[in-house]
Amino acid sequence: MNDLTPDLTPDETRRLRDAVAALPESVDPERDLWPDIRERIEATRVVALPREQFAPHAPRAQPAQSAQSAHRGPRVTWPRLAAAAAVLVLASVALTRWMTEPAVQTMVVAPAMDSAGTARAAVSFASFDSFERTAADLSATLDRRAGQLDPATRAVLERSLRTIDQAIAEAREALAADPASAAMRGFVESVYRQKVDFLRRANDVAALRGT
Amino acid sequence: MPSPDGPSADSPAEIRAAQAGDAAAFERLYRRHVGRVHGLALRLTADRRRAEELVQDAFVRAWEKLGTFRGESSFATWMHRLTVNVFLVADRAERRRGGHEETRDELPETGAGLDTDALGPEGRMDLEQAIARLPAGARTAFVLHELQGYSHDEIAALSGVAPATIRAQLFRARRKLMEALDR
Repeated sequence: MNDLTPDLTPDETRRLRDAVAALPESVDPERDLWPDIRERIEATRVVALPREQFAPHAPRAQPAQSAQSAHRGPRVTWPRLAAAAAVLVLASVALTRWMTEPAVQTMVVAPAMDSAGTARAAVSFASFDSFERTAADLSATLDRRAGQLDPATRAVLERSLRTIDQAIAEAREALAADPASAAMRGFVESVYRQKVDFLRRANDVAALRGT
Repeated sequence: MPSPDGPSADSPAEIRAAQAGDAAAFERLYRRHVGRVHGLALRLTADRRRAEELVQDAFVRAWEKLGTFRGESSFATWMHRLTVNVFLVADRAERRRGGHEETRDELPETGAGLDTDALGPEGRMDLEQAIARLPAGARTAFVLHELQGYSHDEIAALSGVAPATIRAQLFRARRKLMEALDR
């Protein structure tokens, strides 16, 4: 007991103390809870996907490698941002799952445009308009190549793009509500960057399927 | 009842691995601590299903928050505190939804979902059952104060209940538990 328990007599205090001390600290659950926990953890895992994975003829990453490279992404505390980020990530999952068919489902986000290694040269965007123009150009290219893709693949890409566009719309709406927020603006830019990156990867996929 | 700091094989390297995203290392931490976390959850919720949910929520939260673990306390203590916080946040939200912020003890006593036969030898049944059947507020106050070592003020701050209410709930809990032990 943690205090003198003045509401009890000394004998009662001793008996209650003894009874509490006899309680088992550890009580195993009746079933293994780890599979459910693992599933939830996997659902929130963020994996930096190597760009090589999207290069033509690149070998597929093994699930174990993905697990090893897992890391926690930056935490977005603003619920609206988190929701927007979540749908963007889910969109990337759709493409990545289709590309890699991983044994273990992982959430995948594109590495930043300025990441080292094989990342393409970063493009400076002065405004969201620049992002949108670039995205429009890439979308047009993808449309031209769409005939090289089977209907199921096109459906995945289109669904993913709709999800990304929804994420962008929500992020921009949040920025409109707080236009002075540099963090918010940075977030919107990051979502745009990822859309552009997604479109480039999708074009890579289409080009690969067309060869 | 031993403290959460009891014997532990948690190695700093293992915790660092889990912090770096190694799910296998985190699973080992889970396996080592799930019994004690579940024991706490079972006493806080008095309901086996809710206890399992709390354990899952707590470990998922732990995974998300592992980066903030600095080793200033043992992992077991950190995990217990986190479990309590997860429970109290959910409990407080539930009370707000129900519109009875400080009147939980007017609610029917719970414990119906707890099969205490699984808890241990016959000698421990009475107190386990009695704790499970305490009114929710009294049970929370008793478990946190008497089993987990929280002060009145800590419980009050964490649960959003006045310290005087915590003391009253503890008084009520002790009396009810003594009645149960006297039966």
